[in-house]
Amino acid sequence: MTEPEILNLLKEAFAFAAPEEAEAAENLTLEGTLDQFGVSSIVAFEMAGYIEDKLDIQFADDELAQISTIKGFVNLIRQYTDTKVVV
Amino acid sequence: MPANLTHREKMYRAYMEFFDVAERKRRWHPFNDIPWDKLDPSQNTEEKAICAETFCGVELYVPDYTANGFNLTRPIFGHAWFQANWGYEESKHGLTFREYLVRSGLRTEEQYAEFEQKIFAKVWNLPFHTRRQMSCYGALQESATFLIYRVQLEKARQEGDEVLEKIYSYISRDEAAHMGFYIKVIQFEMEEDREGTLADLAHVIYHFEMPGVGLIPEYEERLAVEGVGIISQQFLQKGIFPLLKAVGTSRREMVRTLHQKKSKVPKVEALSLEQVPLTVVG
Repeated sequence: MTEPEILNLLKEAFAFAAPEEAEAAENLTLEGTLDQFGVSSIVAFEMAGYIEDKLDIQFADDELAQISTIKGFVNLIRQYTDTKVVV
Repeated sequence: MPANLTHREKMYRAYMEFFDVAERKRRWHPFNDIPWDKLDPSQNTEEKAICAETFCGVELYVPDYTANGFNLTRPIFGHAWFQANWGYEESKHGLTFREYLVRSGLRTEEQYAEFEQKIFAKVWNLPFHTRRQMSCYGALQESATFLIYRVQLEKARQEGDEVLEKIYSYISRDEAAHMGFYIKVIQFEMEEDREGTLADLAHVIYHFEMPGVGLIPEYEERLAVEGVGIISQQFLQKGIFPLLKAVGTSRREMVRTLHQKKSKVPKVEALSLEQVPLTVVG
């Protein structure tokens, strides 16, 4: 997946996890922290679940807990999708 | 919901075990067991004062915590007697922080009295409706508090602050024991009604806020001081995820439950004598 595709997926996940923040979800960019965009740890938790279901992957809890920036989240998703073997 | 006989027996045994360990291994005296003679004004910092004062403020709501807790737990001996013991232990924490602030010279008696007056001007009310939800809340809140106090303990050790090291050592040990009891309660609840307990746990996690929100004066400003709160990522990694594992569930199952039961039950708003916007810690 490309970075823009992953960012779009994150926007989708944010809007799903926090529908009241739909406008903020559209404004997500690669720069900035989760806190700056109003993504609380619990919302990030839900976003991760949404993305795992969409991409059929499972993040390790420890790695997920380390994420504090949008870029970090994108990189984690790339790590799991780039290494996924498609049979 | 009234508890059945099996649940009552489990709670009784859990409390007796908790009480026995507390009496044999955890009791400490705020005046005799803290090395107050080792207080060194040269080690005083405003950051230490703000941390201790904030923690003290939270502990000072013990009358509200226990009154509300008793109302919920009264029908179950083991749970109600835990509430009584919990109240005693938490009251000691507040007393110890109070002594530290004044004995260290970080706060005068007048400054402390003014702070205490502001605390008692507000009332803490239950953030959730039921005994089961409040047990979930208790587990999370004790976990966060334990983690915060452990960081303070490590800091005191590194700085050679013997007084704070002893204070945070005793207090964090108590909080860990409290967390352990609440985890047992959740485990019992999961055995009785897994679906309902998961729904309650998801609801509480989703709406969780530390008790100081809206009650402690200048709370947002205090959170800017390192060590007063806990970073979200740390709470997830060291608090929430281990808790989920301990009670027999997982992050994936919790997220599924969150999606199924999102915000169906309104959170009880905390009463206060002045309107303060509520914010999430960290």
